Amino acid sequence: MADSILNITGSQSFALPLKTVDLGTLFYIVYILIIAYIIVRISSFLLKKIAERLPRFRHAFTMLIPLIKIIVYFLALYFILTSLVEPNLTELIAFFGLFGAALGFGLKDLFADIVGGIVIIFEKPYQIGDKITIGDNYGEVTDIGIRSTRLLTPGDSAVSVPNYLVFSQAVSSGNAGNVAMMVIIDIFIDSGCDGGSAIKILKEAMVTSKYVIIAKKFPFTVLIEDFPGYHRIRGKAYVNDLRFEFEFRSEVTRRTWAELKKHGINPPLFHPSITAPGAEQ
Amino acid sequence: MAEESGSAKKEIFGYEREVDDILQAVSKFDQGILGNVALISDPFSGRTRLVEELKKNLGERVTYVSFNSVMTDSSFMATLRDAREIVIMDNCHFLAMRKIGGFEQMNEFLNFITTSKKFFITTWNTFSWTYLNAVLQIDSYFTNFVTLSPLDADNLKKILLSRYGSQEIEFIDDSAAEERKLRFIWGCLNIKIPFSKDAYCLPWPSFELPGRLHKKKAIPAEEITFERLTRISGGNPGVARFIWDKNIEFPTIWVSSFIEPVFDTNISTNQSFLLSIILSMEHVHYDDLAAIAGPEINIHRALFVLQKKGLIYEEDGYYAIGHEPLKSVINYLKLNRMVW
Repeated sequence: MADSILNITGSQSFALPLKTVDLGTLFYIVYILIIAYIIVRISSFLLKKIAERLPRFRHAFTMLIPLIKIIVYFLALYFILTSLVEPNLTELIAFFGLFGAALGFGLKDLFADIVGGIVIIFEKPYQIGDKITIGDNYGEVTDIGIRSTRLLTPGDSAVSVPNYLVFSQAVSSGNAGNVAMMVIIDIFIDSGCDGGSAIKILKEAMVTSKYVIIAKKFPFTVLIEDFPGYHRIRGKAYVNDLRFEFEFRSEVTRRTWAELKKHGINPPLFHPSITAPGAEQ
Repeated sequence: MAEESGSAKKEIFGYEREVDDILQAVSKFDQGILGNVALISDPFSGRTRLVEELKKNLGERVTYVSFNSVMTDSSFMATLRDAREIVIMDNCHFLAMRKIGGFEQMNEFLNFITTSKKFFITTWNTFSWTYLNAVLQIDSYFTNFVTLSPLDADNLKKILLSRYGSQEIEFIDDSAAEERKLRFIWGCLNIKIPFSKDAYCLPWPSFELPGRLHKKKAIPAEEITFERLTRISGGNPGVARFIWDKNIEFPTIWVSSFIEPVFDTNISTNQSFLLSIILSMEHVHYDDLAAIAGPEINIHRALFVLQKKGLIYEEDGYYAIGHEPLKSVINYLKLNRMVW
């Protein structure tokens, strides 16, 4: 074993019993990393496959993925460290103190991301499969990694958001771990038209949709609000799978308008200033 | 044949307790306590048979109204107004259709029973009931809820064997022959990893050789048959009877003929939706399905795929769920939240 002396101050010194780093040790480290990577990939793949086959329990399985990643990579780190050093408890504490200080100075962003990842896993502000808004990004969480969270936006772009943002940005989750998600649908009609009929039509369009789920836990409602020149009919209902959010909105809107026209109910004469759906509720 | 030889026997029905519950509600009605009955059950579970029992028991006091397809007008209301004091309405789920404007007849019926002094015994498909209850809160119009639960192996045995004479059916356990085949199983591969002294079990595919399977405790063939039949049918008496009739080589029953069927439920959202409608309405005419599906769904293709996969069948323009795939269809649709 080759010893190494680290001078901390002029008067004190710690001796970390470093092991001999030879080709075998390097192979061992590479082996550990490969095994860890393979375990993470295989377990992620299997859990995602199971989750896809059991849509109702999708979140229960996908939430295990980041947890497995953290555990496997920390174990891998532990095995790598013990292959390099053979410390007693005091030395281990001293080493991690130095390691922490190094992280704090040099790799603080990476360290913040890792801590953010751990917080996300245990506090669950969002989970894999949720539809979230974080910062300016909206999309479905496809992966929670050690360093970043990946979102798939409605435009099919993959966005990588650093995990530390969970400390500094408000995170809004549309479904909070549930496969079902509330969808808000706005229909604007001319103020001269019959609002009551429009409410009934929108309500029936929502409850007869192929994407809807209705239960005590997943209620629906339709509201009307008057604005100068137009009524806003706002429907709220749950889609049975958040992946159908846009299909649900599109299907209900199309069917509602087809029926509204049959009843002589028209859109407003001028285009109302429409805020983004869900922006004000 | 069996039916002929056992014609003198009274075939056991299996839901005697439920009939008694409804008759008790009728007794309360006779004492002036109003309380309509909702009888809720899965397809093939013997709802019609139960209604026949009620008609027999209540005799002349009853007006019987049965819906066999979706009601698009309120012509049935005249019958209700002129009905006797007890009205049995079979298949009430046909009063609503899952489309915009499809709840008119249901609303009219519900409004009628709130003001009527008559006693209503209504029957519903489980999935339609759940849906309509979520949308229209129909449970508030009823006081007595009778659900036909799945039957256990003993009850199914009583029902099915009541059609035959004592010891008339011979059960033969040929499942050993079935198990003589080479079987694939998950074994254990012991591995040692560099940083541990212990050996770990890695799941490993393996094969079980024939001959090692014959050490099991002997169970009577009859018991195995009804245990399998209950599992395959999900305790549904109609499905169990269908599977029984399909497999019996009178007077012999071979245990190995009761195999859990596997159905391909890899279908699209549109196909799942149509399947959920057919399950909820039990038998639906093509025109009604087309009205529900709307222009977004290619109904020809969807129905073709569902038929090809053996999930539904068509008869005189009506589509219905097959007996055997019922359990798979319900599991699939519940898992995907197409029915609740």
